[in-house]
Amino acid sequence: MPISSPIGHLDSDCFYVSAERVRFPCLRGIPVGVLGNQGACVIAKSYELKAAGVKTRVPIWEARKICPEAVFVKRDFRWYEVLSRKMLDVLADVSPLVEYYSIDEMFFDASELPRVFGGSMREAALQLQQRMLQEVGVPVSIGIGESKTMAKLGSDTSKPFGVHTLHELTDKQRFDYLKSIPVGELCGVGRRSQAKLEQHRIFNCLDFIRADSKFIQNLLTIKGEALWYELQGESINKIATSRPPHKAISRGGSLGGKTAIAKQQHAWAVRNVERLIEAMDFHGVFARKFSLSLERPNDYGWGGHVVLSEPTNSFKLLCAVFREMLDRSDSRDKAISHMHLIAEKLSYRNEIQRTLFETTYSTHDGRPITESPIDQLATLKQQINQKVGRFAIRSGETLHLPEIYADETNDYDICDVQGKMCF
Amino acid sequence: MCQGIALSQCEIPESLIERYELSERIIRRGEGNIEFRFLLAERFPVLPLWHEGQFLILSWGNRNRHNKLPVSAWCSQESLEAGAWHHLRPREVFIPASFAWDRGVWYQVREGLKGVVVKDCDRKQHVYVLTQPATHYYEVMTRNNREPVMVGETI
Ligand SMILES: [Mg+2]
Repeated sequence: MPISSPIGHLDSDCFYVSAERVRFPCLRGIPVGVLGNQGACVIAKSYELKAAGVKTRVPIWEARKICPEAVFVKRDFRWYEVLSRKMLDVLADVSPLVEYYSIDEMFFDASELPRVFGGSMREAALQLQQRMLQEVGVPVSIGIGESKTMAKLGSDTSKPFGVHTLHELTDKQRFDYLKSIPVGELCGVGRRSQAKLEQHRIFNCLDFIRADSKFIQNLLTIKGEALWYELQGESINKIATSRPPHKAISRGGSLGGKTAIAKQQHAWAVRNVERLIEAMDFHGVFARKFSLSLERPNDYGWGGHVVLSEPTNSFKLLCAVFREMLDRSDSRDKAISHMHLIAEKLSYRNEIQRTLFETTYSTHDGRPITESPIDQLATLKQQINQKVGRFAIRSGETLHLPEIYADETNDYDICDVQGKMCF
Repeated sequence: MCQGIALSQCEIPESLIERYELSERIIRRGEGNIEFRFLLAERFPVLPLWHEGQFLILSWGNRNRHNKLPVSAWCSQESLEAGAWHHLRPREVFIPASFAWDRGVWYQVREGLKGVVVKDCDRKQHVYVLTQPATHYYEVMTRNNREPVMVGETI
C-alpha cells in the first residue's frame, strides 16, 4: 500500500441545530427543527427530532403532527457562516492543508495532529473534537483515512460525536468494516450506479474493492475507478484548497403563490439573480453556465440553459441571460409557482484572467448580447450591501414584488447549502 | 397570535416559583431543561410578565362579557394605536418566553412577547398579548395571519 499523509474529514453533527444551540442553550436536549426559506419545511433537525421520525424536507404541518413537542427555529445562515469560519480557523491552526468542502464539512491533512496534540492519532482526533466543542461550541465527528473517501466514510459512520481512525485498522478489521457499508453510502455512488453495481452482485464496499478496477471503470467511468483506488487506501482525490466548494450554486424557490404576470415573473427572476450573485460573491466564484427551471402547476415545467464564453458575475449580463431564457420559456400568461436559477462551471475569481474585452454570448436564435465585464453599478451595489447588510440595495426591477419589501423575513433568505436545498 | 408560551426554568427566579405555585406547570420537553407552560386552553389561563421590575402572573385576556373589557386574549397593535383601548389606560408589559405555541406549532422566541395590562371594573388586572399582521414566514409556519409582537425580533 502506498504511503501518504493521512487525510481527515471533519463534519459537524446536525450543524444548523448545533449552531442554534450555541447561542440558545434552552434548545439543548429537545427536538428542534430548522425551517427553510419560507417557513414551510424542515431543512435540518436535531437527533431528538430525527428519533421522533421526522425526516429532512418534511413540511412543517406534517412535522408538528409527528412530533408535537418539537420547537421550530428560523434559519439564520449568517450565523451558520460565522461558526463555519470559526471551525475553519480552528482546523487551519492544527493542519497545514484544509479544504472547505461545505458549510460544515472540511477535509484536512491530518499528518500533524499527533504532534500538535500529543498521543496517538485517535487521541489527537479526540482532542481536536474537544477543541471544536470548546472554541466553536458545535459537536463534530471526525474520520481519518488514507484517502478522502475513507476519511469521509469514517466520519459518516462515527456520527454523532464520534471519531474513526480507519488508517489504523488491520486488514481483517478493514475488510469487516468495508463489508458493513452498502455501496450506496459511498459519496459519488448515486441510485443508478448502485443499481448497476447490484446487478453484478456488488452490494457492499468490500464487494466493490474485490471487483476488478477496470470492470468498475467500465461500469462507472473513471470517477468510479478513483473510488476503487481510494477505498483501497490510495489517495487519488487530493485535498483541494482552491477547489470551488460547490459544483453548482442555486437560488430560487417559491414565488409565494403563483403568478402569470410577465412583469412579476421578470421581477422574481431579477430578484433571484441578485441572490445568486450574492451567493457567488460569498464563495468568491464566477460561473459560465446558467440554467433556469420553472414549475408551472397547470402546464409542463420548463428548463433551459445558457453557456457563456467567459465566467462572470455581472448583474447586467445575468439579468439579460435569465430574461432571455424566461422569454424563451414562453411563460407569458402561464402561471409559474417555482423558479430555480442555477450557476455551474464555477471557477475561483483570482484564478481567472479577466478579459479586457466584452463578454458575448449568443441566444438560441443567434442574437448576440454583449456586456462590458466591468459592471460598475453592481460593484457599487455590492460594496454598499456589504456595509449596510445584504440586499439593502436591490434592483429597481424587483419593485413589482411589494411582498419582498413588506416582509422583513425575506431580507437574507439564503437557504440552499449544498445537499440541503429547501425552498 | 399565540395560544401558549413556555418559559425555561432559568428565566424565573427560584423564590417566585414557590410564591406562584408554579411547580404544577413544570414540564420537561425531551431531555431538555425544565420549563413552565402557560396555555390559553387552561380553565383559568394566566401569563407571567415583568412590569416595572416586578414579576407578576395575571389572568390572560378576558372571557367575561360583563366587566367592560374586550372578550379576547389578544390586543391588536393597530387597534391600540388607533386609540380603541385608550379608555382602559393600557400599560405595556414584557411577557418573558422561551417558546411560543400557535396552532399546534412550538417556535422559538428569543426574549419574549409584548403585552398590555388593563384593569376590569373590579380593578382586577388582565394581560393581553399584543399582535400584528403575520409575516409571510410566520403565516406559512403556523397558518395564522396574525403573530405576536416580539421583543427585539420579528419572526
Ligand atoms: Mg454535518
